[in-house]
Amino acid sequence: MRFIHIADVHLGAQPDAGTAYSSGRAQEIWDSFSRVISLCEEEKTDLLLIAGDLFHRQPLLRELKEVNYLFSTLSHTQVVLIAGNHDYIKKGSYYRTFQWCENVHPLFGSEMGYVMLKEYDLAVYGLSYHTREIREERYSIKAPLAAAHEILLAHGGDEKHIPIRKEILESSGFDYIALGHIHKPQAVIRNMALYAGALEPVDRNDTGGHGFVRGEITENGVNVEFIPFASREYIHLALRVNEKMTNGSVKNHIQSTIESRGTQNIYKFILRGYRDADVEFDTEHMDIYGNILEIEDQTRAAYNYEELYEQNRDNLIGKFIEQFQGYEEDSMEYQALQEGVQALLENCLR
Amino acid sequence: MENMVIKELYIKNFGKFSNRQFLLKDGIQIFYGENEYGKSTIYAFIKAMLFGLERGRGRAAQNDEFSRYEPWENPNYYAGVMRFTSGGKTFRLERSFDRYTKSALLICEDDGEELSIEDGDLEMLLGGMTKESFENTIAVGQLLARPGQELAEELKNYAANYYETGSSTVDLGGALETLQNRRKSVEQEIKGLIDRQEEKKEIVRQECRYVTNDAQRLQTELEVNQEKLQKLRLVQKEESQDKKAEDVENIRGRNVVEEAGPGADTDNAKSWIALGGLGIAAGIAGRIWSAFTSSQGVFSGGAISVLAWIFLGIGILLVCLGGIKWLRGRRDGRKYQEPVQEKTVVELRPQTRTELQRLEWENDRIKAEFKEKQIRFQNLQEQLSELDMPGGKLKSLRTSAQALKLAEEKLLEASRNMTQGFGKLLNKKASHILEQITQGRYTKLLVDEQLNMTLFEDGRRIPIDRVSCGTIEQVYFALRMAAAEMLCEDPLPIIFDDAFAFYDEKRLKSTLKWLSEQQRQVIIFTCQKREQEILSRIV
Repeated sequence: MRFIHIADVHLGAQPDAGTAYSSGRAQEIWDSFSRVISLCEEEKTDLLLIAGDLFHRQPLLRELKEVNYLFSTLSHTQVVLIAGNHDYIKKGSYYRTFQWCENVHPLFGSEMGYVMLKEYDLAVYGLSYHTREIREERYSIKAPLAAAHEILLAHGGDEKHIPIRKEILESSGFDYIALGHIHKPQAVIRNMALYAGALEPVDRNDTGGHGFVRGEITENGVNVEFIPFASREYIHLALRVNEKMTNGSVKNHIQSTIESRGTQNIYKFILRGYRDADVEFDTEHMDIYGNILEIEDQTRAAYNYEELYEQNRDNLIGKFIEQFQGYEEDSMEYQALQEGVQALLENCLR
Repeated sequence: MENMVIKELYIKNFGKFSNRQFLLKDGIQIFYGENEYGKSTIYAFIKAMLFGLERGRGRAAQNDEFSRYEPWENPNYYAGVMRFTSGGKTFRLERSFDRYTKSALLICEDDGEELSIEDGDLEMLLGGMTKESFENTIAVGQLLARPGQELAEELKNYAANYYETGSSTVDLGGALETLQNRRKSVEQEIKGLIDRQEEKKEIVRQECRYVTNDAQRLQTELEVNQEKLQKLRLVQKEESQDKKAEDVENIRGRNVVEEAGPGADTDNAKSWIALGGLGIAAGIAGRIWSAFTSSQGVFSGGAISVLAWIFLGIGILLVCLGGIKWLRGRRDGRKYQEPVQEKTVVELRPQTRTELQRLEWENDRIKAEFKEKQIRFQNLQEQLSELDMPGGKLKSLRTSAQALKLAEEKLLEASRNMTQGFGKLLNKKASHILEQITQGRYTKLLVDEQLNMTLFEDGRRIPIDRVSCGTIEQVYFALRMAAAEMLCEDPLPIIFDDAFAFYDEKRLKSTLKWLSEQQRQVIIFTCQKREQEILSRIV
């Protein structure tokens, strides 16, 4: 039995993706979802698991119709889905009344329910969010052993969204636990409990690769692998500058970095280290490909405060530095120290 | 100490003088001359040699120094030479002021090296003293030689750097301005960011308005449809005498934002109450009957008795539930409009029936669309509230603005501390000088940041405007000398231009005595002979 496990598709989300890509980003998420469905059809995948947050907010009827159409193109694949905290089943939700096509098996109850796929002697268990938050450990259960193979479809894993405990999942008896909610793909238990992660990154902090989990349940157990699939990636990069660097060299460095890591990706750069005290980085004008969300300038002017203090112990510079002793480098006060010293040194008369 | 001593003035052509040479010695040098002698011209010549003589522009040019001392004869030849020693070397300073041959030359006579005035070599020899500070300290003019307000600024700036040990001198005002400009630009960036966020929100709000409009349009459509339905039902009523109609739900009066949930079960509740009433009646009847048929205890009336108890129980339960349901229904009914509920009919004309059906489908379509709008509206509201949360960039910008503000405050605080120290020292020095020249009459002089002065006599506070002109002059003198001492490390010549007119004999004597003790050249221009006389008695 071969399956594909996706989660956190967030259809309808419009993530910030830089000037070049933001406007088309919402459609790209739909396209990506559509590509997964095509892939299922192509590979004749037996089971598609959708572990919650298929939609970013409450689904509209027309959106459900679109999704259902895509599901209807599957000639072989059975689909099991649950609702997560984003598309939770509130009063009046279309999830309550929508008529899905035959191969789709929603587990929309607020209590644990299951769907039996006799063909594979497989039962898939799951529940859906009917509120934005669920703080109880709803997944501390044992597999009921109603079929030869049993899968748990689950959503959550933090304090406000069904906390999970690894050791409990480990001894639960499920063959596979398909997790959703956390956007970064990761294995909680190797080959047994995995977060597929968001199919496409949906937030500027969803860094790293995104895609889905492909797996197989055989006589010999479960085998899964992560398949990178997203069309873009958010990349955060720290760039260490030195005293020799200027606006031009930083810009060039950023450009070549983007070129080598892919112009399709979306970037945030953090400039760190010590810059020449006379150089100020004009980060507004370094977005060559329109795919930089932010350049955060955390550089410090290359001052040696101790030395400066020793040299100016008795004058204004020294008296100023004196007031800032013992602050951490990332504190607001340290920033004030640096700005002040810079202003003072820029205004030396001799 | 690198005393500067003016050795020679050679006036080539300046004011009333041409080709005049004056030789000066170290120590106190007195230029005596009657009125119109040309003392002020010499004084102006020294200033012009040290700091240049710029020609004013426009109307101001008519009475500026340049015009005043433009040579009486041959004005195109407007020049002079000054020789002075500084740091053990002799320098020759040549200047030409006229508009065509304007030039300046500084040569070290010991090694013949030419120095660059443009690069600030002369400024360095003058210990960084500017024309303004020169006039505010060591160049003491005629009458009421109150130092200008610029001295206050200069002292403040200087105060901030007073304890300097060497590496750098800072322009406090400039540094503060830099910080303020930085903060302004950060605040501008914050504003830009908020504006952009607001634009995004406005787009969402606009969409909300569209959705609301659509919902309202749908509602009107529904009302129209409803009316048609009602009319058709009237027709239908006439067609069949049975007055029964279709279930129609009215969504009028319901807000888009509110959850759906009309109270449709009041009828249901009524039937429950009715059923419950029936049960109670049956139970009581059963009980009465079993009481008649049996004389035994209450709980042993046989099967009928048990049944009667059950009927009674269920009856009461149903009445209660029905009551609760009915009450809730009524409450909901106030919130939402009471649904119109009528029963269906069978026999109708075919065209009426199709029309009725069409209208009902239309009703369903409108309601479905309305719900879609409702959900869309809620989603947009959610999006709007998410947009209210400040992003990381905004947070870091706010921190920067905060840091810049703090830097400003701390810088001011640091300078205030230093000014206080400086002020104390200035007061101490000025008080000491004043005490000496007033022979101990005034022991204390307090000067604040704005150069407001207060005198103390035997611990009594005396406002400066209560004392005589002569004393005021002496107070200014003390302040000037104290400031000069603090502002300029290398002593420059002190120049007095008829500055002692208000001094009495005693005070003049002690002033000259004090001056003679200074390690400075002192140049005194006077139209009286008493300075010379007193000085000869002291020395």
